[in-house]
Amino acid sequence: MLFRSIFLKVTLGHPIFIFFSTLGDLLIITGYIQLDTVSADHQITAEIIDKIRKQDRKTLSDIYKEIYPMVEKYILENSGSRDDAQDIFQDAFYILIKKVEDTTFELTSKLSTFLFGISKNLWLKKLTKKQLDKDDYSNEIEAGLISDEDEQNLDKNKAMKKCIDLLGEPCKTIIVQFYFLQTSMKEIAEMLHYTNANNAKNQKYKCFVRLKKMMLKEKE
Amino acid sequence: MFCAFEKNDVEREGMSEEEKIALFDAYLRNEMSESDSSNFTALSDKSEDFRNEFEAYKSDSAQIKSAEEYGQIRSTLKSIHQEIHTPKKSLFVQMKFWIPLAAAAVVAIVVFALPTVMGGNADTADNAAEQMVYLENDDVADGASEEASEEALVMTEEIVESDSSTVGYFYESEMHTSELNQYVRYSDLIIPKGTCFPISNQGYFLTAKHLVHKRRYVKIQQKDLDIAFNTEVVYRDSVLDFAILKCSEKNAELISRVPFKMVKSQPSLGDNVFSLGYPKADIVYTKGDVSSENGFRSDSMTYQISMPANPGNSGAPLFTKKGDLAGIIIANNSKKQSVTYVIKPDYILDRIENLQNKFEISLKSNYSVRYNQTSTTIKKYRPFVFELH
Repeated sequence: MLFRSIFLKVTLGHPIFIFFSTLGDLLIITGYIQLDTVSADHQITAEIIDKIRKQDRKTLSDIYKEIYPMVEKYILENSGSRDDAQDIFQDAFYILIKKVEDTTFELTSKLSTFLFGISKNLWLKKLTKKQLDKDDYSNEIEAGLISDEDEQNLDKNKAMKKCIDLLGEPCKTIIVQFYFLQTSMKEIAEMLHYTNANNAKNQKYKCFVRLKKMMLKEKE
Repeated sequence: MFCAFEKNDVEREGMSEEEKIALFDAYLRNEMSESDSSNFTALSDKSEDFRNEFEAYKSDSAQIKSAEEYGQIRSTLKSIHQEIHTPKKSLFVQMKFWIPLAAAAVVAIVVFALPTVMGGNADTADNAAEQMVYLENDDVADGASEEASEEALVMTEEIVESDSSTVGYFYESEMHTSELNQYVRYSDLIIPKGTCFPISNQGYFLTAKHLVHKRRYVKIQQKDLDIAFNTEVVYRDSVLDFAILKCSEKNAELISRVPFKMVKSQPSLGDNVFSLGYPKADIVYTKGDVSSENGFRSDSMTYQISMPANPGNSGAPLFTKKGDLAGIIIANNSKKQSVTYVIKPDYILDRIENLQNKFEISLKSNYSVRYNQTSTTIKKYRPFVFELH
C-alpha cells in the first residue's frame, strides 16, 4: 500500500490531488481545500446561522471568502467598481446578520444564493437610483428577498453613521459611548476628563442636538 | 423622524428640552426612583405632547444605536476583506516570529507566576489595572514635591478653576509683576519638575496643567540662554491637561522669535515625531512615532505615540519630523512600555483661539523654517525648551 489515510484534519489551503484514469490515460487533478468548517452551499445548518448570529469572526470570514468573489464579478460586469462591490456586499452581509438575529427567520434557499440575491438587488436599485445606466432594472429585481423596511433601515443607518463620523471629537466618543455602549454619564466624564457628570451630560445634549440637525440636513 | 418642540409647550411645563432629555435618559435606563418613574408615567399619560416627545427621543436613541451597530459590523467586514485580500506570509516567517514570543512568554510566566506560587509578596502594582501616569518629577528638593505626589491621583476629580487668587501657596497674592524678575537660577543638580515652552512672543508659555497644580507662580529656567525667571499661571484649562504661563515683558524680550508653528490637525498614524524635554537636569531628545489616534482608553482629546518618556517630560513640546509643533506630552501608561499620551494640537489651538480676548496670544509672528536635518532643527529649537521647577 503506497498511501495511508490520514486522521489529521486537513486545513484551509492545503493542497490536494486526485488520480484517475480515462480512456487508458492517467490524469492528475490538483487543487486545494477551500473551506473546512463551512461549506455554505451544502451544509446550511442551524449551527452556522447561530454562528452568524453571534458574529463569529471565522464563520463570517469563511462565508465572505466564498461568496464575495461572485458578487464582485457580477458588479464589475454591471458597470460597477471594486469599491462598489465591497460596499454592496458588506451592506448585504449586514442585512443577513440583522435578519438572522430574529430567531424565527428561516433560510429558504442556499446561503450563497440568498446573499448574492440581496447584493444583486441592492446594486440594481443603486443603479436605478443613480441612473448610471438608462436601462430599467426593475423587472430584474427579485421580489421578496428583502422588504422595503429592511432597505429603509439600511439607508437610515448609513446616513446616521455618516453623520456620527462627521460629528468630530469629543462628540463622537460621547454619542457612541452613551447610546451604543450604554456607558454611564459618570464614566464618560472620567474618560474625557470632564470635571463632573453634569458637564458631560450638558456636552452630550449639545452633541445630540447637533447630530439631529445634521440628520435633518442630510434628509434634504 | 424628529419632532420639533413647540415653545409654549416647554414653557407651560416649565422644563427645558435639555432637562426633558435628561429625564428620558433616566427613565430609559431605569435610573429613576420608583416614585419618580410613576410620576413620569402619569405625566406621559396626561400630556400627549410629552408622550410624543418621549417616543421620538426613544426612537432617535434606538436609531443611533442601530447606526453605530451597522458601523461596527461594517468595520468587522472591512477588516475581514482586508485580511482576505492581503497576501499571507509564509509559514516559515510565522514560525520565526513565534519562537522568540513563546520564549518570552515562558520567561514571563516564570517571572510573574513564581513569586505568587511561592507565597511571596507579589507587588500589588502588578495586579492593578493600567493607569495613566503623569510625567512629572516628584523628587524635587522643593516644597512643592509633597503636594505633587498626591496630585497625580486626584487630577481627574479635582476642579481647578483659573481663578486661583485664593490659593497663595508660595507667594503673597499681592505680588507685583516687577518682583517676578528676581533671579532664581537653579543649580545643575536639581532635577526640573517638568518642561514648558514659549508659544508666542508676548511671553506666553504652554505646559501641562498638573505641573502647576495649586500654584500661582512657577519658576522656569533655560540654561542655554542662561536665563531663569518667575512666571504667573494665567490660565488652567478645565478639560484639557494644559495651562498657560506668562512672564513679564522684560523677560519676554530675552526670548527670540518662536521658530515653530502649531499644526492644524493631529499628525496621522505612523508619522515620525520627536520631543525635547527635561527628565534630568539636561535637555533630552527622544523620538518616536504616532501609534494611535486616540489616547488612554480612547480619550479623544489626546493621542498616543510610541516613544519612551520619563517623569519630567510632562509639558514638553512634541514636534513632527518637519519641525511643526504637534502637541504637549502629558502622561504615559503605567503598564505598557513606550506608550505616551499627547494632547491633540487642534484642541489647544481651539482653546487659544477662544481665549483671544483674554490674552493677546498671537501665533502669527511665529515663523517656521524647514531644516533638512533633525540635528539642525534641534539646535535651533533647544533654546525654546524651558525647565519648569
